[in-house]
Amino acid sequence: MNGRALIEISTATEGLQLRNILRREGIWARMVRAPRGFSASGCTQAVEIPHGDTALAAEILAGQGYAQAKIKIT
Amino acid sequence: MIYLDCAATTFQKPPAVMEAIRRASEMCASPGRGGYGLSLAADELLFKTRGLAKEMFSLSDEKYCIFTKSATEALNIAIKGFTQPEDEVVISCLEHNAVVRPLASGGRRIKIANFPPECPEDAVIALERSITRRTRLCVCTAVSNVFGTMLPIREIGEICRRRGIPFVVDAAQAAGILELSVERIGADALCIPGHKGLYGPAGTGLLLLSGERIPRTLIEGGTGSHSASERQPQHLPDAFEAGTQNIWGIAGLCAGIEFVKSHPKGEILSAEQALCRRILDNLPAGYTAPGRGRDENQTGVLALLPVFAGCEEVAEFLSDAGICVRAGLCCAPLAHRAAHTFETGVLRISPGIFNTAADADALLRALSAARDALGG
Repeated sequence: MNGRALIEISTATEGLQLRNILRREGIWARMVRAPRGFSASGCTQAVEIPHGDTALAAEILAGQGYAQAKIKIT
Repeated sequence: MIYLDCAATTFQKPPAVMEAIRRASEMCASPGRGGYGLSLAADELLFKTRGLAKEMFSLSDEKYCIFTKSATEALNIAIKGFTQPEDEVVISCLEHNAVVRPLASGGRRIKIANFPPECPEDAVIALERSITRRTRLCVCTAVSNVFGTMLPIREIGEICRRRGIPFVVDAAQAAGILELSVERIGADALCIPGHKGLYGPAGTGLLLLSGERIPRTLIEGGTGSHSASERQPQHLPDAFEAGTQNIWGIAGLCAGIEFVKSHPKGEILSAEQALCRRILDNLPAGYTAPGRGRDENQTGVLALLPVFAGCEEVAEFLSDAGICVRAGLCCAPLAHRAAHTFETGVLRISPGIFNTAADADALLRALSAARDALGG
């Protein structure tokens, strides 16, 4: 499936931590500018992952204590 | 020129530090402010530096590494953020004005734990005796900036933990020199300059938090996050990093930390201690070394007291001879009272990793010449 999913973050530091966790698991994650209104926390950035990796990313993040709701399909 | 004032700042920087600053000036814009390459590159640089600090000082998370412009700013955040005006705060008798003045300006009640600088092991009992039920914070330097005395901060941290008191460590003279672990020290905050033992540029510093206690913020403003809110975000590290970070300086700090890490553990300390020992072993007549204890308790900072002239006169003589040292109270009047050198000050010699035995020998010759010229 084409397209992308975005992961909501609170700070750039958290985003880079998540990006590195996902990359270690083989998911091509990268930091991007978040669309306006995307982030409930108000962070201007987000972590982008391929749409097809959404389920795997959710599983990995859950293992790190992050809520699945952080991942939004755009 | 022979530079021997590394306790003030390590003037000579590794070439990689200057190169990192130049590269950042071409590749990094404001961090946390955009999704474009220049901004993201700045975020990457900050994150990398936080990671290096996390590893070097055993932090539990990168978010507990807060960038400041100096150790002084970090100390102000920790001191004012952990206490209220009129609170009682216990400090050691070797503290710098970076600790004393923020406490005094806020009207906090300062209790000084006194001990002879040459007997740092006495600091533990002195601090423990000074703590009361009203004590809200303990602040202690890891190393005296005047005498190079290493304090037993792990033992002091243990006392603070037992008494439930936040513990702030001024690591201005220790970071990059001694092995420091926030976790093992039991410190709530470790305050560090970037431009001394970490060999970064001036205008950089670190406030490292354990995460168990979080101080209140000292300044508020734009963070690039939570922009719709009038309130300072609570997420770390953003809560403490209002305003655009000194990204060029932090690039240099990053390279400085890598430079320090490239040396085997203890090598920088040993090299500086050896130069001080060489100076002491060959010290010409007319000089004493007040406040100096056993070698194993001393870093590479050496306080000398000329008995034939004022230390400022001798420093000026040395300056004319091309040798840079510090003279006077070194911003630490409390330490001088403890060592009975408040009226005279001292001549402070503090070599760094770029100094050699030849530099020490040149200093010794100049000290002899100063005595001959000024001794009447």
